[in-house]
Amino acid sequence: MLSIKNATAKDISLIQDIVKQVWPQTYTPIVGKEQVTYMLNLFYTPEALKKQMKLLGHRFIICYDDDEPVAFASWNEAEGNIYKLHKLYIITGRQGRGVGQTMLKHIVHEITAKGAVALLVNVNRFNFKAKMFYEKAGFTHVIDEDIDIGKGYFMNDHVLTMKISNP
Amino acid sequence: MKCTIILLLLIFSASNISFSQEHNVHQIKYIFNPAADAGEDLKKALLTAGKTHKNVLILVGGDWSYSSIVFDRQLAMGSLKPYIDEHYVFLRVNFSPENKNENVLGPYDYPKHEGYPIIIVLDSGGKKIATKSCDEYKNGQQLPYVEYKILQTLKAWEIAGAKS
Repeated sequence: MLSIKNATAKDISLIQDIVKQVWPQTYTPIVGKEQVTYMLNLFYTPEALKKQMKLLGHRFIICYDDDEPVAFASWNEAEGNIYKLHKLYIITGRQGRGVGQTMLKHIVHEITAKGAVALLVNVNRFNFKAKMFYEKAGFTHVIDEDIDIGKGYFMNDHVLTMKISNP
Repeated sequence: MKCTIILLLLIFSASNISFSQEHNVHQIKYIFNPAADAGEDLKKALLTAGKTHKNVLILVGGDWSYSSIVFDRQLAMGSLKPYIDEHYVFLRVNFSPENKNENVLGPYDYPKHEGYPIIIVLDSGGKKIATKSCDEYKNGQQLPYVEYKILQTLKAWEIAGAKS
């Protein structure tokens, strides 16, 4: 039975556990081991996660299957009425079984209530599985973006957007 | 004595609350800012255009409009960006119920009853070259917009601006 709970700074080690399982498997074939290590140090240290939660206004949720944490996600209002999905990661053994859809539905429901117009997400251009997931959920590819993250590393992304229709 | 303790507790808990709020300093920016001084922005854009021999490309839209958001991303971040940077001074002007910027946009007679966003191109003297609803760059009713069609229009207007 899936359930979704809000996450706070107390859940950081839990989030890191999920990341340690998903990230190397997903991104090592795409960007290589060195860049994975670099990005984990950039975005997933306790300090970085705390900053995202407290300073940048990212909302975090964790999805549990009974008592077992299987996924987490984060988003914020990036610009007026425009929300950005920053992270959505599901441990590899649970992917493709509706966990992502359940979380996305939860997020869309929340931001719709806040008057969102659009939800944006960046997906690595070689992460075909993720792109398919988002397109199936109603996202459209709009542009490509190459983001310089320092030390000669780049994130080569698709930007996908979904229209949020308000009642 | 009891009163003092309660009072102290109250002060303490109140300061705790403000402390946690101070930590959340996330500020919402806007793509199309309803509070921006569009008249002043346009003046600056025209000045830059004059100095650099470019036209001014105004995108009229709002953060309330999904189409405006998509079009803005395509112009300002996508593969059209290098061309636009080279030939145009790009300016966003908000249109929303709270601020329609009629004083600024009024003189340009743009198709305000068609779909938003709308583009207006001015030469560096502030004379209107052309204006269009972006709807016609859609692929049917589909988003995103068709970029080669946008580029065709912008190239044609760039040449028209150079002549005038």
